[in-house]
Amino acid sequence: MDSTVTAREFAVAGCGVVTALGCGMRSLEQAVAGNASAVRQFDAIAGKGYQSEVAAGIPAAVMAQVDSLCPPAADTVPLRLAFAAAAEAKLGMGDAWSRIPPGRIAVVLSTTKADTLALEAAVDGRPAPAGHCRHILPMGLAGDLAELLGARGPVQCVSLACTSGIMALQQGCTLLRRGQADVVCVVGVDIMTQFVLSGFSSLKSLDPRGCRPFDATRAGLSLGEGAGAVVLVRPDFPAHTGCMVIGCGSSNDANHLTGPSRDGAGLALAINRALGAASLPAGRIEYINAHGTGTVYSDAMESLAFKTVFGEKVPPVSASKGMFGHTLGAAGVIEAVVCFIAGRSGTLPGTPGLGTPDPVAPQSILARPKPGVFPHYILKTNSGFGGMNAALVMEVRNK
Amino acid sequence: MKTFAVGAASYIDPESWGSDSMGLRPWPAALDRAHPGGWWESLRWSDFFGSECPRFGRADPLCKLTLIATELLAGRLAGLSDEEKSGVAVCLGTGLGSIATDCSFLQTRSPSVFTYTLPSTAIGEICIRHKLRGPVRCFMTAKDGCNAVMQEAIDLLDNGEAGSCLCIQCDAIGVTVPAGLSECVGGASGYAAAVFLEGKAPHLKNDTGRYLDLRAVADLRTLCRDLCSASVLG
Repeated sequence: MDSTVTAREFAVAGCGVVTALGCGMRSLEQAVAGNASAVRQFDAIAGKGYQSEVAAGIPAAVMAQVDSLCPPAADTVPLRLAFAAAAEAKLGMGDAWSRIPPGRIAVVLSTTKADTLALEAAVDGRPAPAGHCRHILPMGLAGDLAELLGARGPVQCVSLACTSGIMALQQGCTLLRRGQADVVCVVGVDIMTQFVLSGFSSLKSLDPRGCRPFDATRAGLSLGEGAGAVVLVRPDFPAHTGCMVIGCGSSNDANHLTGPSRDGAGLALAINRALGAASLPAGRIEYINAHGTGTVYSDAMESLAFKTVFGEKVPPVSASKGMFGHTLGAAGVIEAVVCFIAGRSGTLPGTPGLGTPDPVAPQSILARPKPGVFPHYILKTNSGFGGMNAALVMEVRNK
Repeated sequence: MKTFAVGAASYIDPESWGSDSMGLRPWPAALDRAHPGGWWESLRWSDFFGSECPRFGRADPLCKLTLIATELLAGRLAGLSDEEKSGVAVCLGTGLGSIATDCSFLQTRSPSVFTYTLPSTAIGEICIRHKLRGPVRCFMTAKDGCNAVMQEAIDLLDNGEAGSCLCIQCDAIGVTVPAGLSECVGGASGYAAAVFLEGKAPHLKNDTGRYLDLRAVADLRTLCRDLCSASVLG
């Protein structure tokens, strides 16, 4: 295969996922079809003084399933989650993965905090198993994941708050375009620990009832945890799904560290950059998977951004965090997998938690799944702390 | 095109500080290099820039060092129009990220500290101060590694995705790291290196006449230190 690539579009060869809904793509496909939610009272965090006891934590039975898939060397929770998702994603390539020289397989990790369980232990002075400390730094986690996957190519780690996942997918495409790899495994992972629970509690960002994206009475987000993985290959690679990543854009609001800009201009800029990179007019987008955290200002900002870009004809929109919570650095990857499912299954996902749409929300918001629609062009958006915005354009081709 | 114009550069570490235009200067003897939180904790914004910067006072170590490094070359940013600023990419690399602040948050549970527990918050601080809305990148690298930042700068400029790129490499952690963390973070570290690279954008009307082949740059930290202390440009 040529090492130089002129393509600006790259193909999804496989996907994998672990969320509170379950381990494996089937669990997410069923949730998309049935509008299911794993956002619920989570006993593991009850009575600890957090603003909310509702979250999408991974149940013990799901974690046991994850553990059964992992080798003993996967010795920390984030590594096990990441490995389980990545192992499923690489299965999408069938035997092709084993024929790729290890030096041509790259790994891009997306995470906000890597192993905060180990960080908490270190700060508290509690003993941690030898070596656990290395996953406190994301590059340590990324390196060990690459080792377990047998990848000897470039290893990168992207940390851009809640836009990390989209930007990791963008980096995956970049590595392919530069000819630095033939296969890139993009993995997003974050775990729900005291660190994030107390952090978002301190900011009063959690909804005690559970998140209700774009709802008129929404009051905050619900945390989740998990991992998503997408294996990207060049478009001329024979074993891919026909789902393509064709454009990515990012921007900064230059406005506030934790609050979104009120006018949505920064997100609109990122969306227009992604559409420009894809050489696609806005009117061709047929489905939007929004960031949709359920916080008052973020959802309103996103609604404005969509109206800025699409005018009065905003395509069908839904948000997935009511299914598996806000998985932070994993969110962009897991939600891109939701887009992949939408494109292949012909069902536009609904928005679990949404009851009465906010008047500012797009009229095209989908509370319930809409079967029988095969979107060809899909937009995925995320925004995050530090004023970050990111947008990804996917194309679903018949294959 | 792999050769880009160097608009400006800056560098700070425990020994010296400066920019390409002013050169590197030694710190005053009063600098507290043994400060347990890190040598930068005794710095005041007004010592550098005369004015005050309220954001600096509440920022975490990573943000403080990146804010200073950016301000030292901000004269180059000041001449850009709003439209040109929309084309300025900000690309940050850091090995240790916000780990010093992560530890502080676990000890305080303060919401104002939690805000700084993401390395990309440093990008947000820079973008707010200088009104930059361009593409953003943040890489967690190996400690002191910066290959990803320079490669990304080449891409952003070469593809026309950005008209110019502010590249920063920074690490900031003091000597008060919990014992359990020493295995992964090593010893204390504190430096910031920044270079403002300009591509094919129209604002090259103020061309500095200094060009750099980024493919030959292996280490952003060394590059910036050299740019600030001696000419490495052809």
